[in-house]
Amino acid sequence: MPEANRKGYFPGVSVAYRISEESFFKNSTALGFISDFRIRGSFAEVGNIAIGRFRYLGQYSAAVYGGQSGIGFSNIGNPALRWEEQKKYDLGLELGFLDGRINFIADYFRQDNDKIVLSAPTAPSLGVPGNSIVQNVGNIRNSGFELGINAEVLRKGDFTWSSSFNFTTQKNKVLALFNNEDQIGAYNIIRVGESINALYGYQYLGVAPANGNPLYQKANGTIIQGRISNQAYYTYDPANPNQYYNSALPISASNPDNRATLASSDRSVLGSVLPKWFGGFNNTFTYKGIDLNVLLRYQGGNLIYNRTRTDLVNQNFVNNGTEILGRWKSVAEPGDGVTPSVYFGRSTFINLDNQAYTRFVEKGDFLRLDNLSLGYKIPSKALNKISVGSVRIYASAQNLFVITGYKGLDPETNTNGAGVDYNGNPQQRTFTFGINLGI
Amino acid sequence: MRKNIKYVLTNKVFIAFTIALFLGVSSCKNFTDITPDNTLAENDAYSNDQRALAAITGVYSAAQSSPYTDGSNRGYPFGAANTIQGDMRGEDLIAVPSFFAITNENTHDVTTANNTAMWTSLFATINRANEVIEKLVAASAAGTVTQAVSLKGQAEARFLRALSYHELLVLFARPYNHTVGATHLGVPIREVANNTPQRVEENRNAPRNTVAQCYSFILADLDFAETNLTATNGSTSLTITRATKGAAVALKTRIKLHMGDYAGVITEGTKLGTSAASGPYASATPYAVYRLTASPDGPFSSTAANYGNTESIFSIEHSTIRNAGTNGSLSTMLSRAPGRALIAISPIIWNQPFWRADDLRRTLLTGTDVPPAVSRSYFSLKYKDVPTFTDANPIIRYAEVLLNVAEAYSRITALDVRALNLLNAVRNRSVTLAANQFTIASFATGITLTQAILNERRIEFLGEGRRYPDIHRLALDPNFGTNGIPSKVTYAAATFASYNTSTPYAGARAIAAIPYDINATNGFKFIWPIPQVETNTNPVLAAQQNPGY
Repeated sequence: MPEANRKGYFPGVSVAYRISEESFFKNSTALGFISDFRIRGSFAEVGNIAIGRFRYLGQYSAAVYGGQSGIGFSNIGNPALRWEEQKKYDLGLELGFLDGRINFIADYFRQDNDKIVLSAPTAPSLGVPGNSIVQNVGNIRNSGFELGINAEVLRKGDFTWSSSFNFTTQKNKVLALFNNEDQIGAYNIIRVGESINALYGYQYLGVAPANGNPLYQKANGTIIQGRISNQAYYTYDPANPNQYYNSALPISASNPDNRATLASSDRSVLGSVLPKWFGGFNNTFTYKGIDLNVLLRYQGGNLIYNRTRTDLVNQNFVNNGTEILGRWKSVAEPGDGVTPSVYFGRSTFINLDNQAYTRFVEKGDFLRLDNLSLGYKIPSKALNKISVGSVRIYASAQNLFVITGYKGLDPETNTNGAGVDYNGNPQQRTFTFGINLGI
Repeated sequence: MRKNIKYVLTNKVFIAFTIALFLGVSSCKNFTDITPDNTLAENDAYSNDQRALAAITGVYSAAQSSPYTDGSNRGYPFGAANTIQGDMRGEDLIAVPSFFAITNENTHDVTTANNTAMWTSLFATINRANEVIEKLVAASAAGTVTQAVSLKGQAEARFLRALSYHELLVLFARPYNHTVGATHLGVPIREVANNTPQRVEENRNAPRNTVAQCYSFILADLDFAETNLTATNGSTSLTITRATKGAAVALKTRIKLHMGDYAGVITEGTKLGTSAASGPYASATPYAVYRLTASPDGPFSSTAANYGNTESIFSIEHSTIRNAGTNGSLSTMLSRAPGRALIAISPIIWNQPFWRADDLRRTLLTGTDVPPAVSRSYFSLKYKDVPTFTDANPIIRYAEVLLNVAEAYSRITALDVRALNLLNAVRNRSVTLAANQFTIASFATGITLTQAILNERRIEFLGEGRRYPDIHRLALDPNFGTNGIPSKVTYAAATFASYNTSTPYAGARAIAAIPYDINATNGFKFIWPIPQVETNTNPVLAAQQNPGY
């Protein structure tokens, strides 16, 4: 931080009230089935130190020219940089039933991130190193409900089954930005009132059945087609799909000027890349020395931009996926209605390589079997002869399967926080076998 | 009693705590007062001459390579990209699919990488130049840097700034004669460095200046550079790789040619010895001595020759530790195997009758695939260091000065002997048989002589990125204009059989011509668009986007 702003003040307070300890509660028979009841709330303000080193300082670093050593301006200084402030609010209650056999937790949380230290982009024509300045850029709110229930479901003889289930909702909203200006990236936008890094792109309407051209909807509702043969856009008239303005002839009823453009202003917010709901379902079964743990995890409400799929239908006739088989071939064979006609070398025009549009936007909902493990604890009677305290052998599998409608490798692939899956790696499936030895 | 002890204990604890607090507070400041280990704070970079000289070299570093769209180092703008893009936009070289196909086939838009990277890297260079200029002026006023170092450094930075602005105008704006007085839109002129958030706030709304204003700005920079640069820089290598008086003058011949100021071209050229009645031509004090090499491959015969010949005036230096890499270097892109052979010579130029079959530039500077590989195309042999990418990027050499001045003489006076002599000085080292060399009788009219000079440029600078700048400045020329970007041959159609040195290429040209007229189909593609990364963050320039995008 610049010298003037190095000191920060971060208070926190929390309060809890165990109602169940109150005498009126303990003496009440009607509320006897509730073994524990606590209400709690907390407020904390924290700073954030994970913001990089010396970002407030104007710096020169090494800049070599051929064989000549030099230094060059490499970071623009911001003497007004301040601490980030995160204000966390939490309000919750915990209920216990049947002597703690069933527990229920409900929370409402809200986190306001204010004065976030982020690289605010600058116009490249200003030539700022990295085209960004570290600024306190804005205010983002993350809020939601968290519900959880865990219980010892069954205890009969040597068999027990305990289970816990939780469900969280998340709502993310940008409340304020530097000058309240949109920050627009290639596929995302940070805009006040939307969730952060929402997908931002064009509306795709499929393939024109008469000629295989891709169809888009402009911001004003007009439908246009991208004519692949000359890489220009024209207004689409379904009754006259192959009518294109001919500049060599005069404008007439049979030669209207139906030229169009697909402009940056035709983009709109396509949806949030942050999940709106998620949670898990954990079950543990034990029978004598055997224990079995099953953990399911689910998440959804977010969109993913499947950029990998864009490259798999590239027009360089290399590295195509099977989706290309569904392309438009002729009026008699219109294909899957989503993949336009092919033309060598024209990926930028046909697939809008460096922009987002609804053709490659997919839902990211999934249900995953995160952990399945089976273990056996050898009875201590058998171990008395060797002076070993305890032995447990186990086998476990992580990420055994995932159920999802997402066409990419994994709906939880690394996306650089922007919801764009560009050649991301899937989660690994791991099998582990082992022995726990206690001596 | 219990209560008393409690009271005493808490009192002691309280005092101890307060003492500790005060101790802690007084040492707080030192803990947080740290400076970075591996970079220099901005205010320390000009504390002496040595550091200032390093900062000046840093501007060349930015010109050689500023970050590509993915942050990597690919020779944008002047390490290699200006040469490659200048040729790929023209019709004399072919993009072997599909590395440079977008630029070659005119399928670019506001998001494609090559044009975006040229915009961002040119402005990054300009801002670094502005930063150095501003800091040098302040440092020499404060006395930490000597006046001599400061003035020369400013001159070097301004030279690079002028070079960058001219490149921007050729790529993103219409040519000088598009409107009378060049009142059409150019690019925003950045005169002050954007090195603080306040400066960014002040300058972010600056609109595009007119082309006339941009050219005035460029000439002002080059005039300052000419006055304050030295003739040489110590060694032959540094004289070529750093700006010199002669480089500023040579660049002015190119700039004034683009402006159509032919008298100005002649005046500048005269400083470098082009007004002699006949060859051999050479420059003299107060400039470095430049003269043509005896053989046309003199500047290209080896990487040592790149940095040690008499003809190169300004080239960008590359070394094994700093070059444009396998994804950007000239040697990789233009050379046949073992290079990547991604740019081949087109039969359009190869088959031209004005390029004689026995021209030494065919044998010395071009070649086909090496056996046992089957011959498929012809490639330039100008850039030889395929493994370590250390070839220089020739920005301007004496041959171009001679041809610039030749064209200027020829346009002012029909059949001017001085134009012929300058042309012959370049041509006769490649066309060595007297029977094939030009005399004034070879030309019926002044127009045919000028045409011969323009043809010579295409042969002489093949592979040096000058074709598109020539297409750009000649677009509206009534006699020599191509009226836009000519149609081109694709790699698939340019089979080995299509090359011959006797008949002009008449085969298919699948890449359609781009008309100059903005109202014709795809005419708007003649110049590149302002990239989307700019229009996303700059509403002023977004409103001034080149029409059609």
